[in-house]
Amino acid sequence: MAMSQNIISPVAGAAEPTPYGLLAEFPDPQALLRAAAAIRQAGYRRWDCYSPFPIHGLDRAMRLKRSVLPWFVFGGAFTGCFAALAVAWFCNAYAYPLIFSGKPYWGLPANIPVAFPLTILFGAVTTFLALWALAGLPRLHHPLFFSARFRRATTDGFFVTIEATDPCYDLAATTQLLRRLGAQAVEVVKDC
Amino acid sequence: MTTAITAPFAPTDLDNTGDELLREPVLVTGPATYQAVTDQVCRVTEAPRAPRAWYVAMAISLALLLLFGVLITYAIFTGVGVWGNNSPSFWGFPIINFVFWVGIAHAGTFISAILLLFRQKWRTGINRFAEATTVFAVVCAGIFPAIHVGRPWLAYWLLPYPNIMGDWPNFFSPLLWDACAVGTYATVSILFWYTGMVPDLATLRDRATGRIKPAVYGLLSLGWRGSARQWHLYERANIILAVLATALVLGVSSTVSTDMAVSQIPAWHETIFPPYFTAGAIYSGFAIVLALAIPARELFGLKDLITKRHLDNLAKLALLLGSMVLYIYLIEFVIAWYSGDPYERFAYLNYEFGPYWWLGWGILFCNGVVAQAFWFKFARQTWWIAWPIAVLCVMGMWMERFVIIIVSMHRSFLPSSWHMFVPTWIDIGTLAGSFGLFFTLFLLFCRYCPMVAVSEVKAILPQAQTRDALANGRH
Amino acid sequence: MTTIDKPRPTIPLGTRDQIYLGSLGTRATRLCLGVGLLALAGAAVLGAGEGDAMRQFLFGYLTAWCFFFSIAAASLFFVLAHHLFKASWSVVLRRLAETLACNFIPLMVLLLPILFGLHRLYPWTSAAYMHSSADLQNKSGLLNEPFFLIRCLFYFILLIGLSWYFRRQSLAQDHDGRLSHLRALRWHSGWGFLALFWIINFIGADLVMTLQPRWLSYAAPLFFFSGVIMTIYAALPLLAMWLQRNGRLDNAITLDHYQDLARWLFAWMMFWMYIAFAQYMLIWYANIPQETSFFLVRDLQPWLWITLALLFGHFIMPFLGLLPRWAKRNKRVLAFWCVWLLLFGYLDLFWQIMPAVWVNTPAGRVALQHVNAFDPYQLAPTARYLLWIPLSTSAILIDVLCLLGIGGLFLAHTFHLLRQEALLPLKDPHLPSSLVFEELV
Repeated sequence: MAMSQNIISPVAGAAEPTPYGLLAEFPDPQALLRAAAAIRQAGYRRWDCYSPFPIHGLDRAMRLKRSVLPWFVFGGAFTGCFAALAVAWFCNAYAYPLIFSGKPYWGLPANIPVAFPLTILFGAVTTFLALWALAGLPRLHHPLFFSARFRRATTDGFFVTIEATDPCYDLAATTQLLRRLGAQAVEVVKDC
Repeated sequence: MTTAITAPFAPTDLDNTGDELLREPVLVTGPATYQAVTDQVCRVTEAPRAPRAWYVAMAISLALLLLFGVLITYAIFTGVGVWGNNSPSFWGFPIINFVFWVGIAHAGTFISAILLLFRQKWRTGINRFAEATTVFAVVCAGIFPAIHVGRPWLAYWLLPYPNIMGDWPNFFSPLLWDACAVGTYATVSILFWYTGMVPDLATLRDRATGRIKPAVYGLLSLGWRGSARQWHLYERANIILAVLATALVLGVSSTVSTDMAVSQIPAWHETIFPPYFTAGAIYSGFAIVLALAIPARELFGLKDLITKRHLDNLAKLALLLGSMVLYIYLIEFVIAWYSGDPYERFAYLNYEFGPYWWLGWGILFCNGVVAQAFWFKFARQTWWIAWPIAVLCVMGMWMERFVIIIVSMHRSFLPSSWHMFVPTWIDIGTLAGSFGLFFTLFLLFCRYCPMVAVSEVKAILPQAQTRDALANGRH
Repeated sequence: MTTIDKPRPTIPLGTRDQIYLGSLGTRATRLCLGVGLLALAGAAVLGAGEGDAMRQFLFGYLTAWCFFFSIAAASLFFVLAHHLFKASWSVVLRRLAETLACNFIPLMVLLLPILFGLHRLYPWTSAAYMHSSADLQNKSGLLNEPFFLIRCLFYFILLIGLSWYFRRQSLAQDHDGRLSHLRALRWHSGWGFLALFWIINFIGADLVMTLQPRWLSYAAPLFFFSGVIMTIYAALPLLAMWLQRNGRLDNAITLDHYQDLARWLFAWMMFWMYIAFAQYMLIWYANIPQETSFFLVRDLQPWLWITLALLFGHFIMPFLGLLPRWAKRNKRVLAFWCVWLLLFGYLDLFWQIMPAVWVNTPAGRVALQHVNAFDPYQLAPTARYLLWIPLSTSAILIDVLCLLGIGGLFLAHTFHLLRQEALLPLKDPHLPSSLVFEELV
């Protein structure tokens, strides 16, 4: 870290003590994909790619683990189904038993039309909540939003960030690596 | 950019409907760069003024919405006697409209969920606003059962909660099933719609100028950055939501159909009712998406994103679903005849030759015959043929709900209880008003939300394909 | 999946040995033919030994016939859907489905014993029975032998024509590589798809629903259809795995294809459950005797266990088993569930058809008339043996032999057709993209 203090930042050069990391822009998804594979091979751990749309194969190039999201969904859906059946049983077979159209108090076929949507409802709400929780959202600000260049990440910009906290991070060497991988521009992003 | 938004843009509107056997069809006909796609969609929301037609449409919609509000208020303060509902047609317009609007909702879910699972790339051009029709149609649908109960302020009685009356809701009642199904449908389609919109809202955020817009879009986009880790999760979640929504496509209209089908009324109690309602629902939904897509692409200059091929495919799907509806109409006649049961047979004879004969033939014509014109490419491609057909299909599906709900009931088992149903002007005004609500919401959506799923369209552009980028790194 | 302007990556298809069945096909044909003929003969002998004028044999035969009709009809459905929706992922599987679909000629020949045994199977062939009630008399316009035969003939002309045309055009493209064949197939897939849908529904109504002529359900034809279509998504992976074990199509069919087939299997299984539940729940709820008769006889012991077995084996267990992604991408696990669902597909038909063995006998009708209104699930003890007739050891042996017999002949014809041509459409323009097909999730 001491060495990186001495090097003049390629873009801003401001005197912020701890930068968030390096932001590198790539021309197209293919270049981003190749860069991602190389960065992973170089041993970086705290880094990420940014693109305006999901890029097929990027998760494999980055060796992202399959998310645990489906397990949450299964748990949520199961809970919904069970809760609906339990409530139906409690209401109609236990707390307030009443004969409807000559059916038994506890008539499973008539409870499926309630259990089914509640299964879906709980599953979907769990998916929604778990998605944002696992993605670390919502958040009001992020260091990357300091970068004017990064605004294009939602239009046509393809970026890689390597965080300063990464054990392999070294301003000069990492910049050079990114340049070598075909980055059009590399800049230091300040933190807060 | 001070004039109406269509001015600086001249969409190419190429014909991309050929059978592409040797290469993939072109789904974005204009300049297919990431920037151009973004511009075309964001222009609509960023323009200081909407096209003049938008204001005209908005004025009409708002007037109808006002009518809707006034008539509902009047009905609530006066009582449901202001409608034409009578004995034996207790359900009348509110339930017809409810079933109709729930049906309209289905195409959006079908396009965004089922076509996603089927890997239909063309869906990206229309899924966003098809989903919007879903959400708004469910809103319209939800209002009708609530006002139909007469005392909407007691709607919470449907919920199982401990109360001083010491009773609990009846889980055998299709009314409760409906509440669960429609409530779930509204929630899930909003979640699905919103989740899909977050990356595009982030695009709007990053382009927005001024003080208010960046803040609003910033909050709505939840701080989305489009990182690979986020996209990875996001795609998983989208697929899961699509699977769940697919199950709902089958489930919701099926549940609505049980309102009728659990009874013993001829032409109501049919085991085919759940798939029948589902097929009809998706069919009517396609028709309304087609009817909206034709003017919307014209009005907002989106002809290069919602291309002729999209309209062509929508019309084909309407044809497929229309053929399913026709199958069910015919199987109903066949099995009703096969039942050998005089009541069952009478119900269908009454459809076609009773006092409402023109509706019985009308639905056969509108849903069974008219959509069959989409076998011909000429009909699918020519807007002044396709649009009236789509409108006829929507009308046909409303008439079908009328036939099922009124015509089956007005001549029940006992001739002494036979009674004609005649809607009052309040019934008709409320129906028209519900269209006002739908179009008001839809027009607001067109103006302020990304009308086309920008990130998804970009992902299907040729230059976004990365299959060969890692020639040796595939495994 | 592919780009527009870039050349597609090519995956080597392998040598000629890998895309032709060769002598393996001849051996398989002979084996299946032998097993089939022997089993059918055995079933006929056992059936004659039952002393019920071949009734038990005919019911077992009808069930087995419906099962293999399912596979052929579903294969045709697969091919037509492939063309209708312009699918590209399934090109590598298309030839297998086309060949399986071309079995309607042997199936029509195999239908003859059913037509000759119509009086043993279908009570509506008896004039006395049809005069026993007004609602039955009302149906005689549909339920009479000449019209039944005409309908069968009509179905089979269309089925044979469609399946033959779709295979012939596809083979022609193999030879001359012209795209016009594919265009023609796409064009005809539209009406063909709808026609097939109708035919399967009507065959279900004619062959299965009319076994209990007084019963009706508007969804019964669709229920039959849903069970039919599922079978191909269980049969195709098994056929593909067998070919790959024998070194055929090794590079062509990948785990991604299996995963997609498994998803379809899952989807159709769910659709079957959807229709089955809709039908059951609505009949249960409305409680109209004319309709509940169907479920009443299937709720009496021991049939209740088969009904429950269908609920668990045709839905709950495969639902949980096929839900995770790894299960769809593991060939052994997938093979297990394919065999499982084929067995339960057969059981589904068995459940629909077999109770008619005793329901329609005079003794059965008397027994049902004396069902205790306060405990409808109890039959008079004297009538209880009736329910066991289709479940006796010899009856089940006949069923198994019929299944082996028709299955043997069905497969023999399939392999006979399969060995003549390449195992995949060699000159389909979408073959390259199908070969490199990858699931996104």
